[in-house]
Amino acid sequence: MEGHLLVSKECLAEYKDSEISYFIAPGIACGFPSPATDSLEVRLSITDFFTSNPTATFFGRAIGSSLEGIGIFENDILVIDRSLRPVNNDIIVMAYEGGFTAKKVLKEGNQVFLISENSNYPPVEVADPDNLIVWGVVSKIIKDPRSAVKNRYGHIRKVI
Amino acid sequence: MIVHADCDAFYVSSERVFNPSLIGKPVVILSNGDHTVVALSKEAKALGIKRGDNIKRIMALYGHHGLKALSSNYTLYGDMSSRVMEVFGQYTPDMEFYSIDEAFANLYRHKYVDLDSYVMDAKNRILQYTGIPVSVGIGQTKALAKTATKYAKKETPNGFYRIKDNEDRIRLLKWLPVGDVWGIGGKYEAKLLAMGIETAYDFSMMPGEKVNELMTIVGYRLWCELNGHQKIDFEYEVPNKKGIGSAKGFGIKVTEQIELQEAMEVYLSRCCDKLRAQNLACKHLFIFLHTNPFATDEPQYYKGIEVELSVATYHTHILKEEANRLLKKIYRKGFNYKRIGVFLSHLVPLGAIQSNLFDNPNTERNAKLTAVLDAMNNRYGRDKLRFASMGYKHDWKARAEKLSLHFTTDKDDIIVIK
Repeated sequence: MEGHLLVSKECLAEYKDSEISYFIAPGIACGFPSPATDSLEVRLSITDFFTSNPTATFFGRAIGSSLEGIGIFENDILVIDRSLRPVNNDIIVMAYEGGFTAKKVLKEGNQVFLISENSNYPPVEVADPDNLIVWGVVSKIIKDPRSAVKNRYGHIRKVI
Repeated sequence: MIVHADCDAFYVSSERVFNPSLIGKPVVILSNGDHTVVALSKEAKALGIKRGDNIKRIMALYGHHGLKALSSNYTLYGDMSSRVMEVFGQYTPDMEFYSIDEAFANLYRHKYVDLDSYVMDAKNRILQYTGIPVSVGIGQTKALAKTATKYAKKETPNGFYRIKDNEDRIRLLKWLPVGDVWGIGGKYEAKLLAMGIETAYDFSMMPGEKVNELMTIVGYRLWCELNGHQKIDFEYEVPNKKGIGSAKGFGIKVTEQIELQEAMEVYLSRCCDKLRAQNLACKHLFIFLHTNPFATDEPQYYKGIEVELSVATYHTHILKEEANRLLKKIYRKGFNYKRIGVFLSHLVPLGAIQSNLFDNPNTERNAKLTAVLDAMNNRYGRDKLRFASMGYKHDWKARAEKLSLHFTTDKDDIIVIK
């Protein structure tokens, strides 16, 4: 196994470009080689779950409580994929009063409704569905379960 | 067939994607330092505003029309440009990125597709994926495709035009004033007008030798292209630059050497980033500084100085030492400085660095240092690891008071959804 490098592919993929040679362990000549070397694959990364089309993907942060009915809470990160065409029950992002809002979209026959699932904001029927301007479709919602804890105590609680 | 795509009011369109309140309003984008207009929306054009107008003047004149002015946000425009080009590139590999908001595509491979619907599909997809509207023209040559785009922007409802046949070509050339032809402007326009050449058509009907005589080979190539003969080559690869430079005006009057040095090191650091991104090294360093030539009541000073390095380098810390040595030589007390600039030239590919006999014993150490610097900053953001001498307060920075956020490149700047 002369010259064989013990290094994960991920490590290589990440540092190959910047040529930081000392992240790569020198070849080890003795001992029995790992039986897994031929089966190594790139470790999963968080991005494997989120972006199918990075060119058309944008991010947004939810503020306030008006979106809680559709499952979006303050400080959630919305992954917005503009390459998707909205289908029934999608959450879409649209321009609203100079900023952005998110609504669940529902089609019944020829009628299209924007739904907040919030008693303060009743469903709105879209007057001209063909010209409804959709900024993007929410493809994922990233939640930080600790963000609420952080807000309440001002810091992350000690590990129990 | 050649396709030319040009984003509509690109800087303004980029801002509008992330700030819908700007849609339908007159919007201008300002130069470095927020002094003059560098780009504007069609609503602002309709008010009579032009590129180069002074912001104070047009705000006084048109402020009550709801005119919005923004500082230029090149971080945002750069990312949006890459997105547009990426989507366009899904349609053909034969592309030339002509500028931040323009590209050519050569569709000679697409013999059996319906070009009109193929290109319309690309145009619609760019708008859907990125939010940026583009106008598209198709013609026999690059110059004709560009003419078609111009026509599409002004005369068609859907921003798309294909020059169909020779008759159509002549009709478009007759429509285009000679000063608006690609590459003809300023002094050539005046010369041609004086000769009675008013439209692109008139120009295309001139004898070729005469064009060559008047406007050199560059004008002749253009003349050929307007007559339907391809003469301007595609530049599929971005050609290596002759030099990399950065020079920006200060927002305040700068008098001290320490401030000049900070600004110089920040600009130099940007240049070095670009140098390394292209796997180049440089052998020549030039710096200059000057006072404000428009402040005629103040003492004036201009000085440039250069150095030829013994070995080409791409290391920020080595170039920084050299630059500081040069600055020390040309700095004079008692002036109000307006600008400092850095220029790296004699660029060589990394593999071709000729080391001299007395090679630096620190070569390996330097390489490691720079590699770590780049790796850290790639991961954690620009200048997160940096030289302390680059300073932090940067009071000298030009004003950018109306800068929008880095919506696509900074975690803290993403759009807010209510």
